[in-house]
This record gives sequence, C-alpha cells and structure tokens, in this order.
Amino acid sequence: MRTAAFVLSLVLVPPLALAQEPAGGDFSVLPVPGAEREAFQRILWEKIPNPLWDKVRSGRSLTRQTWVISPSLEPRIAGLGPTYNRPSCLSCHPGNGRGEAPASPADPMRGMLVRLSVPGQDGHGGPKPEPHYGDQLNEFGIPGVPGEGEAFLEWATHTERLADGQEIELRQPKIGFRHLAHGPLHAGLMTSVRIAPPIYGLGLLEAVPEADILALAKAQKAASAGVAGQPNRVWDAARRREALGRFGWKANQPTTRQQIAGALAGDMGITSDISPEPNCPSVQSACAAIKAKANERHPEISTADLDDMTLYHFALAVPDARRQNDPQVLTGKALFHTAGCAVCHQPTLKTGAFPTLSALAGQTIHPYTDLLLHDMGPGLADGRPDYRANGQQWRTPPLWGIGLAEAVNPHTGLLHDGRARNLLEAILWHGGEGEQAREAVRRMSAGERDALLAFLKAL
Amino acid sequence: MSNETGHIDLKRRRLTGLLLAAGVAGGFCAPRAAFAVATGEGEKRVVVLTSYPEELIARFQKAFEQANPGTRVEILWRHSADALTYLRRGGMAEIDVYWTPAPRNFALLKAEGQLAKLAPDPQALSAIAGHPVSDPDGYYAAFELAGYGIAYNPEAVKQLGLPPPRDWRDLSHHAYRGRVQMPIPGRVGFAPVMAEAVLQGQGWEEGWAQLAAIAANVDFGSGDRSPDVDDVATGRKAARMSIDFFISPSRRNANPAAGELAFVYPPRTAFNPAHVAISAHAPHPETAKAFVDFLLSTPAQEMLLEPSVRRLPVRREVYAAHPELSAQPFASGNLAYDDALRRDRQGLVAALFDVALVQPHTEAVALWNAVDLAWKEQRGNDARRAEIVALLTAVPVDERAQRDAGLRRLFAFPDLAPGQPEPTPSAERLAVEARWKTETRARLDTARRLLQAL
Ligand code: HEC
Ligand code: HEC
Repeated sequence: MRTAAFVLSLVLVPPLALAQEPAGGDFSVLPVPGAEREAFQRILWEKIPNPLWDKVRSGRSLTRQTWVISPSLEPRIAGLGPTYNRPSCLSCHPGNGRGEAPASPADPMRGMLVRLSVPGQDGHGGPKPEPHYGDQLNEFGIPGVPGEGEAFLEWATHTERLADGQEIELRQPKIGFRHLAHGPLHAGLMTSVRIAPPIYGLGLLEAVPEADILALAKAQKAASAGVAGQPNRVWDAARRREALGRFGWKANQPTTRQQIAGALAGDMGITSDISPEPNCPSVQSACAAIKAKANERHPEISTADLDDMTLYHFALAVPDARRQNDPQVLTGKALFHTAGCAVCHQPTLKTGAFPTLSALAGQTIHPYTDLLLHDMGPGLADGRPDYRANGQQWRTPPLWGIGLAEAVNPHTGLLHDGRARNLLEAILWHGGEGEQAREAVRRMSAGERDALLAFLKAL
Repeated sequence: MSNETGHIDLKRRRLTGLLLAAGVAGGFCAPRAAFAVATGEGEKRVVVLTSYPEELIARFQKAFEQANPGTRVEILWRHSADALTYLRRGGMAEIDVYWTPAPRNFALLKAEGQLAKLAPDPQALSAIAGHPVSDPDGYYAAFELAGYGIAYNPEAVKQLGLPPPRDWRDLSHHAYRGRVQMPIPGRVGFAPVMAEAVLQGQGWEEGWAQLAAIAANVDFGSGDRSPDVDDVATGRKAARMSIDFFISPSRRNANPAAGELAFVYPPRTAFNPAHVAISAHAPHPETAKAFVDFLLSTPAQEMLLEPSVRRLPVRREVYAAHPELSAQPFASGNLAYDDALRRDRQGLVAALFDVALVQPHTEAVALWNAVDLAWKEQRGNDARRAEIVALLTAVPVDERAQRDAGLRRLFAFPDLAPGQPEPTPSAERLAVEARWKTETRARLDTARRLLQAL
C-alpha cells in the first residue's frame, strides 16, 4: 500500500521552484492587507462586462438582504417562511464564509442546518423527506406559524495521539431535538448536520467540464491506491435531467443557481422558478393555511433576481495563495503531495466554456478538490444517503482560501458539521479513503506537520 | 425511556439536566449519531423587529443569547416604511422590541401610545451639541449613531493633484469633474440625511450652493443611485458622499495604496441616531427589557466598534476609551443635527434636488466647463465669474420660502399600504415644479449669455 501511495505521489509532486499561478486563474485576487475579513467578498469588476455590473450589484444586495415576511411594501424582498431557518444568506455564510457549530447544547444553530429524511427515495432519486417535518428542520415560523423545533448538538470528546507523542482532543457531535411542534420524528429518521460552506469560486467549479471530473474518478480507480472517488448524479431541475453533482457537502446540487434556489426554499422558505411550492408538509396546518392564501404570490423571487444572485456568486473572486516562496510553505506543499492529500484535493483543474460569464472560461485553477465523493469512514459518517452519495461519503471540499477562513469568520470550525476546531483536527478526522493520508500526517515530525499546516494557511 | 420511534424522549424540564443517548463512542469508528429529544417548558424568547444588516444583528443576537442561556432572539426584518405599516396593522402585539435607524417611526409610535416607557438611562440620553439623541421622555433610547462624510480613494485624489478632502466644499474643485458620487434623495435611503448634513451644516442657501457645485462633478450614474462604494474602492471615482459604516475601519485609516478607502468627517456634519424601544403590547416584556438593557450596556456599545459592525456608540465613555476614533460626535462645535427638520422637508428637498440638480445636469455641467475655461483663459473678472457661479448654484426656493408648512406638505411622502401604488402628484405640486423648472432654465440661460459675452 505504501509503495503505491508513494508512486502515485511521485507523479503528483510539482517542481518546487515553479512559481504558483493564481488560485482562480484570472479570477483571483490577493487580499488587501488589513482587510482580510473581506477576502471572500471581492469582485473583479474589471473582468466583468460593464453591462452586467448592475446585475452583479443587484445580486449582491439580494444575497446580503434580510428577507421580509409577506405582505410587505417591498414585494421584491418579501416571502420569508412560512417556516425557515434564518432570514438571510449571510446569517449562515457571514462574510461569504462559513457557519459555525454551536459550542454547547444550550446554544441554537445559527450557521448550520439539519437535513432530515427517511429510508427510500424521492421521485428523482434524492432523499425522501421526513413525513411531518420535510427534508430540513426549520426552527422558525412567521407569526402564526409554529417553528418546527430546535436541534442542538452535544459534543463527545476523545484524544488522539500522534506518533511524536503530541495529544490532540477531537470532538464529535451528537444531535438532539427539542420543542418539536408536530410530534415525534419518524422511526426511520436519518439526519445530516451541516455547516454553511464558503461561497466563492463556484462559477469556476461549475465551469470545469463534467468529462474532466469523470476522468479523475477513472484515474483514481485505475491507480488502485485506496482512493476511488465517485461522482454524484443528481437531478438538474432546470434542464430536467440527471447531472453531475458539484455543490454542497455531498455534491447534491448540480449548479450554483439550483443550489441558491435550494437555499432560498429550504433555509428561508422563498419560492423560485426551481422551487415553486412552499415547503409545508401536510400535517403542518398553519403553514398549509398560509400556503393556501389567495394573496400569496409565487414564485416569491423572480427569475431575473435569482439570475442576478447567481451571477454575483460567479463574480466573486478567489483569494489568491500567499507566501508561496516561503521555504516552510514549500516544504508543506511537498508534504501535501507525498501524504496523498492531492489525490482528492486536486491542486489543478481547467475550466471549459462558460457562456454566462466568459471570463471564467479556459482558466487553469487551483481549487484543491476533485468534486468527487469519497468514503471518509464511520467517524465522519452521517448515515444518510443523498442521491448516489452513501452515508459515509463526502465531497472533497475545495481548500482554496482556507487559510483566510479565520480572518473572515471569528472561528476555525471545519468539516461538514464544523466539528474540527482547526486544520489539524480536520485532517485527523480523515478515515476510509482518507486514512492513509491521515496516518502519514500522524507519523510526521512536529516540524513537518507545522510545514503542512503552514502550506494550508497560505492557501 | 425509549419511545416507539426508537428515539430517546427525555421529557426533561431543564436543558441543563439533559442526558443524551448513549452509544456514541469516541474514536474514528463511532457509529452514526443517536438522537435525543427533549421537551422543555416554552423557552424564553424576544421578538425583535429591525432593519439592520445581518452581520450587525448576528453579532448582538449571539452575544445576548450567550449571556442569557436558553433565551432566543427572533428577528423580524423590515425597512422603515414597511415596518411602520406592519406595526400599525397589529404588529405591535407580535414584537417585543423595535430596533432600527428610523427616527420618524419611533416618534410616531410614541405619539400613538405604542411604546412602553424605558427605565431612564442617563448615559444613553446624551445630546449632540445640545440636541438630545434619545427621547427625552424615555420612550425610546439611542443605540448608535451614523456619521456622514466623505469616502475617498487617497490614490485617486492624489492623482488629481489635490490634497485629501476635509469638507464638503472641497469636492466642488473642478479637478473632480466626473469623479465624485452624490447619492440622490429618493433613490438611496440615506441620501436625504446626507443632503441635510450639508443644508443644516452650511445653512439652506449656502448648502444648496455647495450641493450644486459638487453636482457639477457628479455624473448621476448608477453609483449615485446605490449605496455601494465600489466605484471609489476601484478608483473609478475619487470621492463619494457617504455614511461612515459603508467604509470598513480596516480600510478607513489605511495606508493610501490603490483600491483602499479613507473616510473623513467634515467639521460640521450629521451624526444621526438609531433607536431601540419596547412595544407597549410586547408578548415578552421581561426578555424585551433584558435585550434593551444589553444593547445600551457598555460592553454592547463597545461591540459597535468591531469590524463586522462598525457603528458609532452613543455612550460617551466609549469615545474616551478610544481616542483613535476619528469620529467625535460629542465634541463641542458639532452640528446639532435635527432629524425632525429633515423629515418635515425631505419631500421638498428631494423634489428640489431632482429639478435643480439632476434634470438640468448635462446642461449645467457644460456651463461649469465653460466657466472653468473662461477662468483659465483669463476672460472676465472675479465679479462676473461670481455672478455666473451664483446663477449656476441658486435654488428656486429660498430660505424663507422653504419654511412654509404648506409647501413642505405639498411634497411630503405619503405612508402606503402593501400593494398600494404611489399616488399621482397633485396638480398643485406639478405646477410648483413647473415654476421651478422655468426658473432654473432662465438662470442657466442667463449664465450662458453672460459666458458667451466674456
Ligand atoms: C440555515 C443556514 C443557511 C442559510 C440561511 C443559507 N445557507 Fe447556503 N448553505 C448552508 C449549508 C448547510 C450548505 C451546505 C448544504 C449541503 O451540504 O447540503 C450551504 C451551501 C451553499 C452553497 C454551496 C457552496 C459549496 O461550495 O458547495 C451555496 C452557493 C450557498 N449555500 C448559497 C446560499 C445562498 C445564496 C443563500 C441565501 C439565499 C444561502 N446559502 C442561505 C447553509 C445556509
Ligand atoms: C480520500 C480523499 C481525501 C484525502 C486523501 C484527503 N482529503 Fe481532506 N477532505 C476530504 C473530504 C471528503 C473532506 C470533507 C469531509 C467532511 O466534511 O466530513 C475533507 C476535508 C478536509 C479539510 C477540511 C475542509 C473544510 O472545508 O472543512 C481539510 C483542511 C483537509 N481535508 C485537508 C486534507 C489534507 C491536509 C490531506 C492530506 C493529509 C487530506 N485532506 C487528504 C477528502 C480527502
């Protein structure tokens, strides 16, 4: 096994002296020193055709908007609920960054959500919603509609020992529910607790040709080195066909636009051309009554506004890597390859054509993801299938900009449920296909580990 | 304890006593998560109506919830006009706290008997240049201040060969032609206060003269119709009349490299308070009081200065503790900004702005360019030039006429219900505007003739 990993890594190690090209191709920008907390909000205006500027601005203001309950003097931003998690995208993606898991069971979930389902599939092969609560627990209801209940996390900790004797405490969440408004949850309930990931660079990832991702899966399989990513296949509602899943922790959304529509519907209760029906399971009578009201207007967000929000996401620049010639960073970069991280966290992809914003086309990018699902072992498993993703599989998250996470959000929570409190904890949770890489890190000397982390922090 | 769903139903009354399902071992091979279900007594809740941006709300929501375990802050969001309509249609019984920059709404709700009296807090009752920022009767208290001034791109200003701007009038320098942004009242929410900062700070006629002279450097494009500072950040524009919080403090005092922003408060400008109040019909009056006390406390006021929030505190002691702040709203000599005056005449000011500055803009800019050229070629004398500039900067309504209550009423913004269309302007209003237009046209024509005669 070890030899195989070594051979594979040999192929992947880049010449060290090579100057790193920008993370997002032409669509990268170095953070302004002192203004790193805005690093995920930068727009490269000069790369965006002038006639689109107003649409990008409009999309930005809608993404930053806190939504309003109907009826309102401002129908454009109205339609929150009947049930919802948070009233704004930024509630969960502050600074376009990531959400945080609550530290104690008394704290509410403010930057994350709980997906719910029962065994079986919906009409398109997706998860089958919990009959009384739907596919996501919505904590809040608009006045007159009860919130569905509250989920909370209780943390169990254990200690891991690294080869050099260093001890690291890891924590794992257990989910609980309280104040459930519609009776007990289904006996076969499956849950998935997920923090909000950062939202830049998605246009570039969407522009990577599907064939390239499938080729990566093939190459991993052929290498038979213990890593064999699988593409997710999900329902593309706009094109009315199956497509490669790219976004979300289990790659359960095919496009940025559908992902945003999903967030509007699932997290905020706002209907769109992709999700035209309010989400009210039939037992939720107050919710259903609102839905039946004649003066309700659907979809609540217009097609043009959803397009603008999508364009804004495309227009967000990727933060460029820093300190790329620092010797420690260079050592860390080499270790990243020798440890096998780069097999899943693919350093380089190329974008194809992208008519919506042609500046994103034909770029060489360094996202550090293969957009594939990997079995990460039972420790990270949620046990809840999501289209083709099984209960142990997760999509490799991009690592570009991860070194700025702490500057953008005042926490360092990582992984799908925010359990890792720093980069090393995130690595130590890698199991399954990621186990070899994890063990490589466990065996590293303190200096090597520091170098690996320095490399990640420079991304 | 297992119920028929297979989940654990603890029926615990207190969260502190919560037990969780056993069976989740530590280590890398933990089985999938087990569930616990707790039913508690109705948790404590405070329902807050606001129009603050999410990042500000989230900061205070989290801090309050952490300081009061088990209490939840539920946020309802509406802009001020929408909020007033909602509150007047039964919303006062659905919310506990109203927390927002909308001084008029607080004044109206107080007058309508909809607000509960707050325990008076002498600190939060402070005044700017003698003008109280909180309700003197204690029905609403100031929470923070928005300061008005000039956002500029130091590099772009340097390239124009100018020193950094210090006061509004600096923006009228002809080197700024086409490089300044000025928010249009009626298009940008904060623009009416912005215009009043100049009109009250400089006096009605001098204020309009300055606005008109600055307008010569503006192109009234999309940047003047939106609150964003992008065009200044990128250097396409050199300066912009703005509220302080649009410019992050990390960049506010930044070293002047390209793309970074600076912000300056003119010596006499507006610091406009935002307020917080408790509904007289609050469903949760106790948590409401705790939330308001928290917002006005010194730790919460300190949080206003954080980079994700960047607002000005109302507690004076916070300024004493932060001498690095360039804003000094309570310093002597400041303008006693009067927001009631703004409200009373904002329709009038918006209409004048449109008729006097926006509509004849192209023509006016051409005349300003001609003035500059004549000056450069040393045609005409100072007196003649002053005469022409006076024609280009005069407004059709003078200081005395603007005081007229009937005139102000004619232009007042109506309160609308959802779905109700903007009313068509009255014949009387249209007649007044037509007169203004004729007058403005006549002035510009005279200025042109004088210029041609030089
Ligand atoms: C309640 C919290 C919450 C809210 C509110 C929310 N999101 Fe998310 N967002 C998430 C979570 C959790 C995920 C991951 C979803 C998954 O894995 O299924 C996510 C994923 C995303 C992604 C995919 C990112 C990636 O790299 O895969 C985008 C884009 C996104 N959200 C945009 C938005 C937008 C736009 C809004 C507002 C309309 C919004 N979100 C509102 C929690 C939230
Ligand atoms: C088998 C594929 C695979 C390998 C090999 C791998 N990772 Fe990952 N990595 C993943 C997946 C999948 C996740 C997401 C897991 C989750 O959220 O539960 C992840 C998550 C992470 C995260 C957290 C990212 C975030 O946004 O929360 C970091 C950091 C990371 N990996 C670094 C590494 C490093 C360093 C290595 C090498 C030592 C490595 N990974 C090897 C697949 C892999």
